[in-house]
Amino acid sequence: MSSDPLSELLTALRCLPGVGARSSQRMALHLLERDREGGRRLAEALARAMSEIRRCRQCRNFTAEELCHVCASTRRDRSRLCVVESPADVLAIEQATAYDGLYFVLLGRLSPLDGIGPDDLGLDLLSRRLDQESFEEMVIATNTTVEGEATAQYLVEMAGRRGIRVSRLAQGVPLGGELEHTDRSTLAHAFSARQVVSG
Amino acid sequence: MRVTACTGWVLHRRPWRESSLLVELFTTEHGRIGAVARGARSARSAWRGLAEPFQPLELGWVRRGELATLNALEPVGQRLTLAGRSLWCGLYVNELLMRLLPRDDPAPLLYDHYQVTLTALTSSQDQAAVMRRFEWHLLTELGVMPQLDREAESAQPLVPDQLYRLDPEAGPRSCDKPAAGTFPGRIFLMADQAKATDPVERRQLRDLMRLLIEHQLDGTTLQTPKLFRSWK
Repeated sequence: MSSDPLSELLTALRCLPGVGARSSQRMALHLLERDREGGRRLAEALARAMSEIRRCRQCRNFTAEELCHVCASTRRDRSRLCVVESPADVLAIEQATAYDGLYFVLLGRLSPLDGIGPDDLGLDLLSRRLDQESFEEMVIATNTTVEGEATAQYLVEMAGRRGIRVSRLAQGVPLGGELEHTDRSTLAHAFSARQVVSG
Repeated sequence: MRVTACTGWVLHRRPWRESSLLVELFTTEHGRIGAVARGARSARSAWRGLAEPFQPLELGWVRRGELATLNALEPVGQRLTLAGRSLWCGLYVNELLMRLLPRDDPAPLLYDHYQVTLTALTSSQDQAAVMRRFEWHLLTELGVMPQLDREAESAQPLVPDQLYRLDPEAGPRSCDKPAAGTFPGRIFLMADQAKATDPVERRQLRDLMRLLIEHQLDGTTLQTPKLFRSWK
């Protein structure tokens, strides 16, 4: 007995974040009633992305090539390496900053209680890169959660053993933010890490 | 059941559904409980970034089934600054509680020891001694700590320089040959205070406590120390 294609589509759509029974129904009916062409394009794009996109051999970011465009570029500063938790973090840094070094994407964070260890984050690959390439600085841009901090500590020890300078993103009051409405932990952190501006 | 203004700590949390968190809490009056923090991960949530370990909290919840639903979550004071290895020690302590302390079993004394331990980690240089003391309190409060200052069979006080084999249920037993799981009497005698200063004795005390803890784990291993050992 073959299952009904409509109900199969409804179930399949629900793998998307934020899509429950109602949204999947709305999406499926929209494509069937109004935009069959869009639906076909979506199906092809999905099939192609799922079969062609893999992880960059050097930084573990998503790419359709052997190397991602950052790792393959000849214009990047190869003495600096920024370690982030997810591909979304790479995009955010690329869009917001003038950073022109390389990346390493962990695709997660160390979390012993969830059984996520160094091998799950490709830290064996990272340590090979630290040995083989000549990095002068590692920029740690993991999240400021407890696991992000624990991961940062692990990275500090990895880089420190090899005499590589380590920096960590600053934490503080958001631009355009009012002190009164800044959450207490951030404010406390910003206060203790204040910078001398004169004298 | 409705609970208001109960202080507690987050031991661990996992993403749940689209924007919520499943949190394991260690609270003053209710011990360890599991709870849902609805919407805590969404960008606009006032709880965002608050349901983190090492942040003292005041909590409120309603509960019908196994899981509570949080309806109040307020920071009381600063998140503790655990840096470097102290952070890993904090994660180890949390893992011990997650693995050994059953849910819904109030443990006010252990709660106090937990707070003392975390506070000590923010300042102490001797993290190992802090860990040994917490392990001792944990096993004692759980009621699974055998008497360590007397020989199990004869009930005679231990002789500091004599060798004993640890029986994790009954306590030290006389033995003649050194082997795995044997320690000098003085190691058993210093377990409650964790006062070891000599590096060999510190290691032996660590191994003694590890055997006692592993006995409670039914053959599974603790992940934090395993990870910690792997990076040396």
